Amino acid sequence: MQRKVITVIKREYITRVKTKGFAASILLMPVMMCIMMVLPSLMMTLQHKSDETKTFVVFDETGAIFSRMQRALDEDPFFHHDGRRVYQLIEHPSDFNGNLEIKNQLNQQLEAKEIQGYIEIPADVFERLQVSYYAKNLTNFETQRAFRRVISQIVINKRLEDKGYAAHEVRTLMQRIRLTEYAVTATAEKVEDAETATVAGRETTFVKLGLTYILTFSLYIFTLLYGASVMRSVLEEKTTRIVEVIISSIKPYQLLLGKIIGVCSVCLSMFLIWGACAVLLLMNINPILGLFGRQELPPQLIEITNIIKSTGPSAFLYFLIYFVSGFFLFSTLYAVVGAICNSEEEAQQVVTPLVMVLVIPFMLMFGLFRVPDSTLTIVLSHVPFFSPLIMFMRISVLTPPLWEILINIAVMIATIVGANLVMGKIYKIGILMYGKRPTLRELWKWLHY
Amino acid sequence: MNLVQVENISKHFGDFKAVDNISFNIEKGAVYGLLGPNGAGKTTTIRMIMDIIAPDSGTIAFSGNRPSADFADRIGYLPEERGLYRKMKVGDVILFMAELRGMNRVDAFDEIDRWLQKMDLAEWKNRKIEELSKGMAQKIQFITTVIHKPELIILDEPFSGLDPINMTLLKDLMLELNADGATIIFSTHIMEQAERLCERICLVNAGKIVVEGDLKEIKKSFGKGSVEIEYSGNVDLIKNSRFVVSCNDFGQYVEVKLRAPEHYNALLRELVEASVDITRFELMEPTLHEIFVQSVQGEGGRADAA
Repeated sequence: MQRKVITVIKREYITRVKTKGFAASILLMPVMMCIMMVLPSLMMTLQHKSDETKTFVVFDETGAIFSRMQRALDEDPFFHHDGRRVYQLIEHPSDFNGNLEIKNQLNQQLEAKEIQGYIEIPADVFERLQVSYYAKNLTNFETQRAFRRVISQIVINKRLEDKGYAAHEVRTLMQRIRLTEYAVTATAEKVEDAETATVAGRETTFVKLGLTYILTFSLYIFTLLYGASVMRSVLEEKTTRIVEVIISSIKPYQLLLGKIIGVCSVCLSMFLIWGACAVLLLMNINPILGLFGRQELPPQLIEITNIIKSTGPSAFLYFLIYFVSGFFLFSTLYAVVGAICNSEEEAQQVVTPLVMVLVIPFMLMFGLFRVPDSTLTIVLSHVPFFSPLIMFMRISVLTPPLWEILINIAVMIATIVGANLVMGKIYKIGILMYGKRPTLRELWKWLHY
Repeated sequence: MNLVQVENISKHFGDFKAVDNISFNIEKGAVYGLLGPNGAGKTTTIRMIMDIIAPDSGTIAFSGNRPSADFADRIGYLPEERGLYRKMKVGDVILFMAELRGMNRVDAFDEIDRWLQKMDLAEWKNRKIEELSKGMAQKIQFITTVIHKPELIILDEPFSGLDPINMTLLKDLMLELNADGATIIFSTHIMEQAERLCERICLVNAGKIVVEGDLKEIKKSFGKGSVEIEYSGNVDLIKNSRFVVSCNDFGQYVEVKLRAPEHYNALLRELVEASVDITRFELMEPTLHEIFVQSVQGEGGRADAA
């Protein structure tokens, strides 16, 4: 009997691993992951450091601010890109005062993209603190923030001087404190060198967050993709009626089990391949760099690799535990959706609520990241369907006590067993039922057969 | 010796009685027909024999034993609507099904080659199922059903959707396997097929057995209910005869249904006396189709599809 389950596992595994899609995923997934991580910040810098110089017309009715703006933009390297200025300012000779003629003319220039916008600094700016910014596109926050900052600084300095304070003195006095963060864990080693520990403490947190993000994202995307794969496989067997032949050889629950184990192994194989590649890469990083003519990594990256090296196997062990348990839970449900439907189109509709149950914790995670010890996070992390993502996130960023983790895992296992018992019944009947999809009431009746 | 014994099995789904107290025995080496209209309970009965679903009541035994997982390996089953894993290669699909039926790989490899050769599909072994034509896929399906040399072969509507050439091929293979000792159960709603292949039949309708037993006996017991008459003269004489229930005019001849089987002599006398020129007067055995319609209508006209 066990041999036949292995036959099923083998089929599910080999038919997936042998496809071009599998090879492509192995190569493309890390690339996509990198793009998704890097792209947003890349976009921000691109936006700021675009090649073209942005031209703005300034109405300076105070007569005192324009030259200081010019100087501020000249002096700050932040406003330069490849030796060129990012912002080009032109002072308009006349006053604005809502003059329609000037406005129309400027709007035409805006339309023709000769200028990117215009700024009106009224004469009473030092009292009313009001400056107007006109542009075609108001979502360019970077530019708006830059002007707000530069003009604010000038106005503040002017107001300070008017009251008889020296601006640079005030700035020195107003300096903020530095807050350095340390993650305290039960196993933290004694800090020897306070100075380096300060830097490491902060960077570790960031790298850890990044790593957690990658791992939770993998949990999410693989459950989503390969759960659907289980569903399609159940549907295929049902619509071709192969399932009737198979379940006369093995019990339906054995078929389901073989299927889930087979598909789960495909995912684990991928993780294994990536993990092995990453380890090899980290161990041989210097020879590989030598190929590109570099001696060693830039110091920040060395820091990152060191942190990853020091992360230890426990994080990855938890990853495996929560991936496997989450996968078993969700793919069982996916399989049931496949069993009660008659076509892929139908299944796509029915599966939506299930996908929601996966998407919701993933969405919540971004908020919960910040408050990993809040009651809400703790409660959600113990909801079985949310556990794989949220509990794993909690473990990665905060590490709750071991007993809590163990209880959580026990609850997960109990849920999986329960789900398999209940869903196995529906699956068993569903795969032999054709025609109309059962209603919820009928499903309830099936449980009592 | 009976290979399969089905005793008083019933199965209902909710309020619907799919199978209602059915019993029959199948002798070893028989070709057994399970007949009836669509929705009569054939597939449910087969599924219970295959131990895919459990009967609500009644028992099924193989050679006197309760069905076991072990016995599943000695059955070959071709479900009604076939398909195979479309993305898999022909050889791999057959191997998978053979392993599920408990064959070891080495034996399976040999058998796969032998069967593909026999079916003229050897060069398709490494092609994907989705590349095959429908007829080829059906042949592969048949191979997966019989590759493990089952003692009992269950074929659910095996001929539906087959072209005449493949139908003949499949029929010949069925008879060949039967000659080698395999017992065959096959279900169909097309009575002519059953009539040609089966020794024994079980006719079911609305979950109940209508007739069961040796086909020849059944035919005999239903008597010779109709007469074919070739004649020249006035057809109205035949139509209006008091011995005739109905009369079907085919131009060259008429098919006449008698009020009672023993009335044929009376009818012949009547026609001769009325100087109708008769060139042929033949008593016909009832076809399975007629038996079916007759029995089902006797039950209250519940045959909506035959």
